[in-house]
Amino acid sequence: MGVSWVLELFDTSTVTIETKLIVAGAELVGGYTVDSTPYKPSEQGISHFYLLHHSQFPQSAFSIAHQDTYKCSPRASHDRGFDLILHKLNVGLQADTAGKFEVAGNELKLQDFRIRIGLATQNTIAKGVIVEVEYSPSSVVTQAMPVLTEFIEHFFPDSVESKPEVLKKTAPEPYSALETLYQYSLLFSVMRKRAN
Amino acid sequence: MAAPSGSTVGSNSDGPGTSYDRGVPLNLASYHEWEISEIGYDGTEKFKIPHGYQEHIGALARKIDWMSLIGEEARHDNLVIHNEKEKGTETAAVDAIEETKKKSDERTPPEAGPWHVVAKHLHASLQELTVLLDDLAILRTTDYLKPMRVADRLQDANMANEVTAMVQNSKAFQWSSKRKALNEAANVFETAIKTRNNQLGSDDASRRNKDRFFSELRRMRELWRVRKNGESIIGDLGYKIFGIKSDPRGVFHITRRSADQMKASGKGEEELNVLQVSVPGDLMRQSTLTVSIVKDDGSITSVFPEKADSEYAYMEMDKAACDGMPWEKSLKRAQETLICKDIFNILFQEAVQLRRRLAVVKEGVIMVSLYDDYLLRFELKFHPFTMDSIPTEGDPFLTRFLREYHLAMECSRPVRPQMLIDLPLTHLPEALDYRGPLAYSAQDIEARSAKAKGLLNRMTKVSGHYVLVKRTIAVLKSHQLHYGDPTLRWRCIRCSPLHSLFLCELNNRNYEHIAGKLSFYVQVDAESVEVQTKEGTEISCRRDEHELRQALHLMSATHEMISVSQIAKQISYQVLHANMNAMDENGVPCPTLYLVNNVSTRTVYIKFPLGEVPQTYVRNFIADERMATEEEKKFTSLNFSRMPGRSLCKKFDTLFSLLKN
Repeated sequence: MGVSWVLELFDTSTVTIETKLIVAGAELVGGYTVDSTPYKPSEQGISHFYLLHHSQFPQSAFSIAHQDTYKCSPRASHDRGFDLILHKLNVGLQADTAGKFEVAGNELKLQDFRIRIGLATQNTIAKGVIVEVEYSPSSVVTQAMPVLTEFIEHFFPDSVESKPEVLKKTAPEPYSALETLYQYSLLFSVMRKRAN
Repeated sequence: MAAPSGSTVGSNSDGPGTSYDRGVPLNLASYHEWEISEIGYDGTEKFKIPHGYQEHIGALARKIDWMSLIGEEARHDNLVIHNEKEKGTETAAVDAIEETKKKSDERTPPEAGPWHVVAKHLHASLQELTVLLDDLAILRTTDYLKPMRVADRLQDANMANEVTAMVQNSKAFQWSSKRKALNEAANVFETAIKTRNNQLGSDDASRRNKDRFFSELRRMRELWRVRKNGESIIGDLGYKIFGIKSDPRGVFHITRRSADQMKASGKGEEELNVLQVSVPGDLMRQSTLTVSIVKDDGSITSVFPEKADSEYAYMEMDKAACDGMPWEKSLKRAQETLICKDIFNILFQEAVQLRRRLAVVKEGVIMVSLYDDYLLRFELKFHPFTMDSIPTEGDPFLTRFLREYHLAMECSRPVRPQMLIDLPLTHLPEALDYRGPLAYSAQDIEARSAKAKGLLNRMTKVSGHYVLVKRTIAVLKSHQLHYGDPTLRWRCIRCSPLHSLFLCELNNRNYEHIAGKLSFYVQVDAESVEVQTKEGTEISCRRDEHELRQALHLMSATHEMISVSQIAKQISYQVLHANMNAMDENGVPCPTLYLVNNVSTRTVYIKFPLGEVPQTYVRNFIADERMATEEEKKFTSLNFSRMPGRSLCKKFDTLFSLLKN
């Protein structure tokens, strides 16, 4: 479990990024998918939330309800049985298949880094390219940030300014998978608002 | 109808493996409960619902004495008020009410004209109807009131003869009618039994036969899995818990031996079983799977001996003879064959895939190289399917271990899915139960999961360890026998199939308080033996007995040197040098000790060669080496066996006392 930085790239394709990294010495490890399903309540009083899965965490499901900051957002990680429980609760919460997001692509490994490059689609409509850079050895943000920032500066220099809020930490706290998925869901909501 | 009589808050059903305190289990129930008015035959309870607001008001209203308030002659409707209302003045209506109250005593019949009788009748019928409605309402809510139909009463009324009515209602009549009905039922049953007995045959012997068959079948069900497949009964010889049951390979048929067949076989009725089993053909033999360790001396016949023709006798199967065997034994033997064949197949598959070792397979023998010249041999041997017992071969420990390990693997499920309840018999470690909620990454899950260990690998490791342990014990025992001074005591601290640890102690009898004990460990692996001292030095003896013996001698020599120096110090000798790392001219370790007595007149030089008696040299103390003559520098060697004293310590003790001054 390392520290991940998820970013969106504009005006490039997944193939160009992959070749750029392979030239730098990365090797193809496999594929990956991330998906997000919004759940809307049928009554008042329940806020709607997103259910996410990540193939790097094969036995887990994550649910996040967005509030203003990461700290205030109700979020949890569960095992895959949660999907079935939600299905039983479909009286109160319905899955919104129109808003379903999916990212599918390849995973590359370069020394201690794992880079996942994928195309984000909302129900077969392509919305953008998402890259996740994970620095595997450390799971403390303050330790990993310098190396991670340097990596991003080298390969994706335009995206250094848009550092995600979850990675701006001062105290040495451990990093969890939820924060990666939170970054994904924020990007999805931005993409959703965009027209095309 | 369920009443909210109480709510239960039990302890939380957490996932498996939680070690924290579950807290106090709580049970909340409210103080007030609804009274039960009736309990139905199926256990449902009917509650008396307490009064709501309306009903409470009604109950209170019923308690009020209205007659005293209104008066005897009050009427349902008030014509005066209605007339006043038509006039439209409210105050006039109020006055009218007061007037009627005053006039309540003097009542005059209303002037309704010629229809007053009709009105009275209608009124009366309205009253009757309201009473009826009230009755029906009461009946609906009360459980123990039931309306009787008018028709019943009519019938009763039509009963011309009262006597018959009386008779019909009497107990005697009811009893006799019930008895008649029961008699009819009994007759029906009797005819049924008669026809059934006729079908089965009235022969006593055949009926007994059938009874015995069923009792034996019941006994078989206790031991084996039995299923009815249409008309035939089949049993299962399989031993697996998980996976396919009733595999066609291990299925046997059960039939009944009829009385005629039993008579034809000529044996007594009590000897034979009524139950007959037909075992699959390839399992109709006795088999043994043995494990043994053999030393390879270069010739192939020692390793794969020629098989005599008698060993192939099992192939001629006499089916009739096999059927004659009692089913308990034949089924056990057939299952044993099945298990042996399965284990051998697994070993064979793994032997083919072995990378680091050599394996040779021929007919029913698998040979795997252990180390050095030793081979691990698995042999599957078949014997004819008779009642005779077969000879046991091979190493009993290893054979039994193989069987135990195989069955232990069969009893565990290979993968445990994520579940909310504890599941026994699985490989998966409990720590991985939280892989979902704690978001373990795929690499973490892979790294922590338990991998299935091969049967052959484990057998080679266990056999290698077993051989080394036996050798170590033999070496220790022989050392104890031949070298009594200092005495060696050893015991086994830890013993597992793959790893053992022995604790050895050296001490001198009667001199423990001076010299103390020297303890060290001998660690036995699957591949090598190691001696570990208390200081942390490890002497690797690989698999060589000679090396282990040398290590033991080294420890003895070290201990001897320490004890002798301690004895000398006791008598106030001075130790000039003590060298544990000294070596003799061949490079073999040989600790040395150089002592001088208290008054500095005599010096003693002792060498402790490994495995031999110590060599002692004495000379007078030389103050200045340069001034001494050759004669003075010479050491006198002492004969150890001639020194007075029984044990080594005693000898040196006497020597030092003699050389004191």
